[in-house]
Amino acid sequence: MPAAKSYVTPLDYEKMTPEEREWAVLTGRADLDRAMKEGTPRSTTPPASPPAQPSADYAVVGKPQKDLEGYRIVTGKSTFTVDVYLPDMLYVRVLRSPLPHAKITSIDTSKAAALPGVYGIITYKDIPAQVLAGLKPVMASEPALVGDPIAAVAAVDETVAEDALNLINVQYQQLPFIVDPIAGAKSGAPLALSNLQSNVSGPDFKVVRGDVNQGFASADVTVEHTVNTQDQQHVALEPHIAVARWDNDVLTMWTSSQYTHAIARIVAATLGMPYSKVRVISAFTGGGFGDKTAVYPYHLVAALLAKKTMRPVRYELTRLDVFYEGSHHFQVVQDIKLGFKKDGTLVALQADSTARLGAYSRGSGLAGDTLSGARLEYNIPNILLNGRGVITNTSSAGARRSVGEASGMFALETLMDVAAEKLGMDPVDLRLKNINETGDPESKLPWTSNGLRDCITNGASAFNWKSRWQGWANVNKGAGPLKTGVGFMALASNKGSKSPPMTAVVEINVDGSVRVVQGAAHIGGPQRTTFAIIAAETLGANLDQLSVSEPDTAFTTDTGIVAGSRATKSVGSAVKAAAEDARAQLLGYAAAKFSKDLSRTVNPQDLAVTNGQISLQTDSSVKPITFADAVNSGFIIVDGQQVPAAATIIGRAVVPPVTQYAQQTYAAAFYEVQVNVQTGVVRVTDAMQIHDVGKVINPLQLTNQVHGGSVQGTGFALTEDYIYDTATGIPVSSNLDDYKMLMINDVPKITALFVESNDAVGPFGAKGIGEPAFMAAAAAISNAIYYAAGIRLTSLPMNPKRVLEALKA
Amino acid sequence: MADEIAPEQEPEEKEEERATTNGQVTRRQFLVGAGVGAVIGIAGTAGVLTLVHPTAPVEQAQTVATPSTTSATATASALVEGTKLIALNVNGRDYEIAVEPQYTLAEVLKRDLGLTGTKLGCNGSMCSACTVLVDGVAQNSCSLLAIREVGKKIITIEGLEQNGKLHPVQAAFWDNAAYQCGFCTPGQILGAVELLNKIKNPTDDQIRAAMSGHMCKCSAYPNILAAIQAAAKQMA
Amino acid sequence: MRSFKYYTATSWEDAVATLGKYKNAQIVAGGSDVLGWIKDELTGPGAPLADVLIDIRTIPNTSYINYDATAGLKLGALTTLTTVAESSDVQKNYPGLATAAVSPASPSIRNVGTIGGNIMQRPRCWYLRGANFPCYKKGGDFCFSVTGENQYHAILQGELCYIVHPSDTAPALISLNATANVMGPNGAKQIPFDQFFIGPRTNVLKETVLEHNEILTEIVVPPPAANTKSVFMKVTQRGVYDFALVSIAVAAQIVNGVWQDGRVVLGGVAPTPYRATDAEAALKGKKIDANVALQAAQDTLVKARPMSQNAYKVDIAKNIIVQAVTSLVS
Ligand SMILES: Cc1cc2nc3c(=O)[nH]c(=O)nc-3n(C[C@H](O)[C@H](O)[C@H](O)COP(=O)(O)OP(=O)(O)OC[C@H]3O[C@@H](n4cnc5c(N)ncnc54)[C@H](O)[C@@H]3O)c2cc1C
Ligand code: SF4
Ligand code: FES
Ligand code: FES
Repeated sequence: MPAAKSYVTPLDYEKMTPEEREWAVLTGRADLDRAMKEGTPRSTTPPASPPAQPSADYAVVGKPQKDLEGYRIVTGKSTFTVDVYLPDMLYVRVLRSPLPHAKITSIDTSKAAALPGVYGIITYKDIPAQVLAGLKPVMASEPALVGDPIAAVAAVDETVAEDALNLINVQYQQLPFIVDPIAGAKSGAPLALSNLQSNVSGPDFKVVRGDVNQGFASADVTVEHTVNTQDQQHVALEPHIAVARWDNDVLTMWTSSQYTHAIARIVAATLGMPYSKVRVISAFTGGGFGDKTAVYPYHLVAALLAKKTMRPVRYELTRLDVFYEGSHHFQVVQDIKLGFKKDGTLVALQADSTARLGAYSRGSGLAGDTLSGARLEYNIPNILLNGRGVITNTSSAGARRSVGEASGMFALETLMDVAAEKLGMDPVDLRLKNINETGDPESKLPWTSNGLRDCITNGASAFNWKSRWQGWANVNKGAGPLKTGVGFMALASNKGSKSPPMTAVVEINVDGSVRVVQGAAHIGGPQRTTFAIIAAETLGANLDQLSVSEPDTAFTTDTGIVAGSRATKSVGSAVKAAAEDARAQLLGYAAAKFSKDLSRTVNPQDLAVTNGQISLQTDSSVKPITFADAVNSGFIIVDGQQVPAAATIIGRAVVPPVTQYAQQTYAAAFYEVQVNVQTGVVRVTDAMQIHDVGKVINPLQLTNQVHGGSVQGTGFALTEDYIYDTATGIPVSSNLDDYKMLMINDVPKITALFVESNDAVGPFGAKGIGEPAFMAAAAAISNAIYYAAGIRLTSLPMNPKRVLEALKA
Repeated sequence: MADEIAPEQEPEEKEEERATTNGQVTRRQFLVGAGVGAVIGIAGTAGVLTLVHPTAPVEQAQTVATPSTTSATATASALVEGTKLIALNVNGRDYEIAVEPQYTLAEVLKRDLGLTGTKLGCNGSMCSACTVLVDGVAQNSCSLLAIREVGKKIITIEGLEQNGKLHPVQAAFWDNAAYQCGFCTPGQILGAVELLNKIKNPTDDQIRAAMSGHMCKCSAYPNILAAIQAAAKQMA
Repeated sequence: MRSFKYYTATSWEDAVATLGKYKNAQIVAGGSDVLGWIKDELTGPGAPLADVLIDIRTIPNTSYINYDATAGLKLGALTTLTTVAESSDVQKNYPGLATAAVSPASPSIRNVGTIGGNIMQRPRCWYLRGANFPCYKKGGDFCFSVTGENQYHAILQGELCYIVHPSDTAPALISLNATANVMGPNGAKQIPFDQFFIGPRTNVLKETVLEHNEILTEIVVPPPAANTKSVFMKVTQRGVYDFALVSIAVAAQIVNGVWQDGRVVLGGVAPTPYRATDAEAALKGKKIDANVALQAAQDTLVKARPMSQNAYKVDIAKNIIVQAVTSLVS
């Protein structure tokens, strides 16, 4: 690995909002910054590969397991936040700005307040200046996007609340606005908010490795293109919602969330309350995909209106509200250029990324996210990456299943295909030639494991790539209006990392049942089942001994966010460590009991636990005992009474962050498409994804994740598009008809294959899956479209309009 | 073009214009008259008059399709304004409940009857999450007015499990991991029940066509297909 | 949802009279369109929000399918799309209509959505369906699509307003020479669907000739002439929910591959279902093949005036005409 000049601009953690810091931690960015700051030993020799974890034949792990929560889900008894109705509750509706940028010159709520059935109204006048949702105003005085909240009404029902909104009179002074990030970055562009100096937010994200000019000078073949990926909304099917109730000075909030503890922490800090007095509950979460990770205005609206009215308050956002107030996967424009030697060796990469931040995101971190995969997937000695964020009068950018990496991977992996053709190479061979199997060149840390080579080769053979892809001479060779082609991509992602906070408690109760106490959202993994499997395997318990707590900040520890594909690896690590602690205690009790019963010394290490039975390995004639026997074995005398010494075993864990390794997930994808050159409609007809998951914990649910990722990734590639009318700054595709997500009859056969590379730090060697599954689609589809119809599409979505326009060009 | 947009300004509503008809109390008069303290609420209420009386013993829920989906025809015309007491038959049980004309069936089921199994993803006929069976036919409860559903047999997700036994479609969804977050699942299951009542051994394409309106943003679609096939075999 | 009053009608006359009584009353059939409109509070100077909904589903005998070889097909306006699509009489005699009836929206919308409502539904222009755009069609004085996002808008006959007519069944009914039975204050009358839809120049605030207090009661389709073939095709991105990028209904008498007489009607291209009379003229008396069909398509689309972003729809329309016409002889 070349040891040339190498740096990544570290983020300024002092200046970041709590949410931004949260994100840096969970995306692994913070680890990278720390590693560089603390000066991890920078050897010039390649880092050593990690020690492999022993691969065992597990009892529970790796077997298909049904969701522990399945009964409640299929009977409708699962309590999502939208199912929370409290006695005496009021309903909220919010008046939203019809203008992309304006100042409120007057606002009159008196008529609305006089409407019978209205109990509380808030506007910006009622909100102290320091009360913000991140950077978003809870109620705007200077609305900076269409849909910024202007006034909120709590009333006896939604009809009365809506009637009341229509009685509020607002006068706006319109201000100039900006929707397009490229135009917004130019000097002289209208400022998206009046207190900005420039729409370009903060210093550029920058990575320099080697000398990119020299790199391109030494290249035999150079390719480049510009890629424009669209604005998307996640459309988690359960709308965002908060139900708030005050009991004197204690706030209880039910909300559909990916991270209850962060909501509690931030709401408490914002309202100047102790964290312990805010309780946040999210028993089931109806989808999130990154959109339910932050505190939004609606959380504070519910809290403040509940306080004002002294009644429980429920604010369920309408679908339109979600489109306005929810996060958006940002539009990003990328210029990317690659240089190769004749034999396909990559020598240089230059990329420039401009991300549309919307009104209330900041910094260049999101643009940096789009560039991160390109830095790490392949061995490239010379790199120059630049990224910037541009503030615009649009809905705010945020995390969405890959936080920009999917856009970056689309740019990189379509360009790799272009290069393969120019080099006259099989695209599969070109990837295999260049993959970085050693470690992060910037932090110098080795990978925890890297199964990318196996993903690619196993996939190529399973997909029958060699016969389905017939060389570059056969591009666009199909006859008739329906043209079929195949495409391929590979990817590396920094998602799926093990990152703090990682805490958990595992209790073994007097009756031998086991309770895992953790605070992670149940959002589709299905997370609680995964944790039960990990705890059961670790303890040697049967799965049906297990129960897993629901996220409730009053009763669970902070286990971190369920996002960044980290739940299995991070929360799973905490659960495993807590279960190990519990197991050690259990064996202590059991050893004592065996010693007493057998009247000889039995050591914990002589014991084995399988299927909920603790047995003496050295003597099979001794009858095994149960968890309950062990837990109940210790007694002490209190006031002449014999009572259990420890009625419950409590194992606990606080797992430290990973500092010795760099973490990546890997995948390859093979797609077949059919392009109708008469209508421009593209259909995916076959999809295969191969993922390095480290270790398969639950194949039934893992496959499900790949299906979901593939379909969503295909929607990103082909149909989903959140469009703004540039003349007015008003979004137009803000309903589920115009914002097109794929449905069951658009879905082809999807094959999910896995590579078990045995991750050095994951529980049982596992890593994450959620985001890589989403990323492993768009570039393969674009490449397949090219193979089928001879058109290179670099703007998403690749809809009939773009296809037909490209065919004509 | 931004200057084309006028600030939101609705003509003020004249309360007096909302005439009292058929001797019924308008919602305004009721709210004024009753005040907060007098509000009766059972099973989680919106705070308006909500009386829930199960007036009949629980019957075996009916899921068999009857041929027609049209309204009971009216013999006398009537104008309803404000609240009206209606009877709804849900999962074989009769409920008497006060509704206003604009209350959707979904709203009444969840908020007023406490049957929260029904889920709303869009509140606009674009996701089918809110599917219930009305006289055996799958319909979007977010886009039905409760007041129009009198005299029909409504089945929600809560009405499928019989005597502690899951409906085969419910069991198949669980066995086949035909969901991730589970939010779309009640609607998917009721859609599949309607399909399997109509077609005993559907092909994959028939399943795709029948289920096409059911959005699953988690996109558990392949497993949904597998689950319905499994349920069809189970029910055959 | 905002509040409204609810009226149960007992007869067409009752409904007509009640409509006459309340100027902001609206009919509710299946409700799948009209409730969306109220929920989204789509209103403007020329589009008051409904404050009374008149239920016509409560009128007896309004949902039926009667077919007989001499009188043809009679559809009660309240017949659901599902019922129409599943009717064996419709499938056998009017395959184009059967396909059109299974094309709109989703299965559960078709389970409540009526054929009358499908014909009478309001357009889907996303500016019209956005609460913040006071455009011509809501009584404002601007069309946002002209300077804006018009990829789904009209390529033919747009002026003032560039909506495309959203109905899938309307082109099929026009291709089959169907007639509307309408009830109004002066009693019943018949209007051929050919003359039923109006463009924005005639009246930008509505899409049909019906007055506020007129109701579509029945659809009558003449018996198919000998050797009639009919087809309906629809181009969409997704297999559900999507309105047509372009749709086409063709019904023609074809003998030995020769087009005797027939109609070609496009959906998704113009503010009304677009009767492609140029195509019909080009096809008349011709032996149908791809070249003849292409000529018919070109004759139709020379009149296209695409907007800034929807020229691709011209290609789709051209290709779909060829595909639909040639499908009748294959
Ligand atoms: C998400 C979505 C996607 C859709 N996609 C399509 C599509 O692809 N293709 C398509 O064709 N349609 C589509 N539709 C429209 C759908 O087909 C219509 O909503 C439905 O057919 C309307 O029938 P209804 O009985 O529910 O009408 P209602 O909603 O009850 O009424 C619709 C309108 O017609 C008026 N009306 C109803 N009946 C009569 C009558 N007899 N006489 C006079 N006026 C009357 C009403 O006052 C109202 O203005 C879609 C709708 C939705 C919500
Ligand atoms: S096309 Fe018609 S409906 Fe759409 S914005 Fe223009 S005037 Fe309004
Ligand atoms: S909530 Fe009823 S269809 Fe989406
Ligand atoms: S399981 Fe989440 S939407 Fe279907």
